[in-house]
Amino acid sequence: MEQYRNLVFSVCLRLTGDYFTAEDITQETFIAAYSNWDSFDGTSEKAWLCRIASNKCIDYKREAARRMIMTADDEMPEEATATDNEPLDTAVCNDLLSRLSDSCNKLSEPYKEAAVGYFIEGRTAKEISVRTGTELKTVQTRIYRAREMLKKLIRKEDLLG
Amino acid sequence: MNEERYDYLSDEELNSLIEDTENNAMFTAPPDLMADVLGRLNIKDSTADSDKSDMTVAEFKPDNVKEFRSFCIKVIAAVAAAVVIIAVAPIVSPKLIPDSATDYSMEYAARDADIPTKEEVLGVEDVIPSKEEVLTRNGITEGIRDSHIISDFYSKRS
Repeated sequence: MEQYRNLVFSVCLRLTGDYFTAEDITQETFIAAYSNWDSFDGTSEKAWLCRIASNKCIDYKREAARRMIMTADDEMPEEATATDNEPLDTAVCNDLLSRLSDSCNKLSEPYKEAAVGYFIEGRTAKEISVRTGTELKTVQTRIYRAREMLKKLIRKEDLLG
Repeated sequence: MNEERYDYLSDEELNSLIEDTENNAMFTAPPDLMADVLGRLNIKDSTADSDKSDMTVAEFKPDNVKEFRSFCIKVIAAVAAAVVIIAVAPIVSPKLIPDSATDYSMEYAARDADIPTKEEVLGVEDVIPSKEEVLTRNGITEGIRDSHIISDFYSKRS
């Protein structure tokens, strides 16, 4: 199953348009897959995983829409209904990742180092720990805090921009 | 309304999304993603196991054995002290332990002496006889419940 983690994450990223939401849903997808392995019919693991992931993304978008303060129906732009269900194209996803990269560089040290190493360079916490000579637990904590900071930063930028 | 806006993907849509993603838009997942998944699965498993049984097995440690031995010694000492107190206390101060059976009977005997008997209470001459006594005295023992006998009786009496 692990060979599909990049594919599942990419599908989630295209459907949600949010790096951290995609990460969460990818995790939930694999947890659901491991937990419900008995119900897998054995035909196509890739399609099965992507089905779980896409359904979870749609559920997330429905839930997010429910939480929004709804305006009157006649005030809603008609174009929105036509494009909401479409996955994002590659350019938009690349733009998301470049914004994530910019946000990582905006963080203060030592979170910047952890965030760049983890989110941009794709290093594991252990690799960062060995490279920087910092304790593994410390690196994990920095990554966790950097993630929370990035979530706030990116969502604030979305709200303003 | 939201359900209408966000439909689940059909098989064709999903397959085309997978194909397009594989060919054009593959991104790298966060490196520790699968480790986090396995960690969360382990937590789930351990919580599920703990739900199945409330019993927890204590880990064997040499310190636990020492603690258990000291606890046993304390319990034995407490039991021995209790036995000694029970054995020695009557000898040391017999007045502290009253002869409860004797005291109890004497107290009740004294109390009984003050209570008048039934005969003393009912020894008064002008006690009003009961209905049954009156009927028995007049030879009526059967059919007391017949209303005409009772009414005859009362008419005779009046």
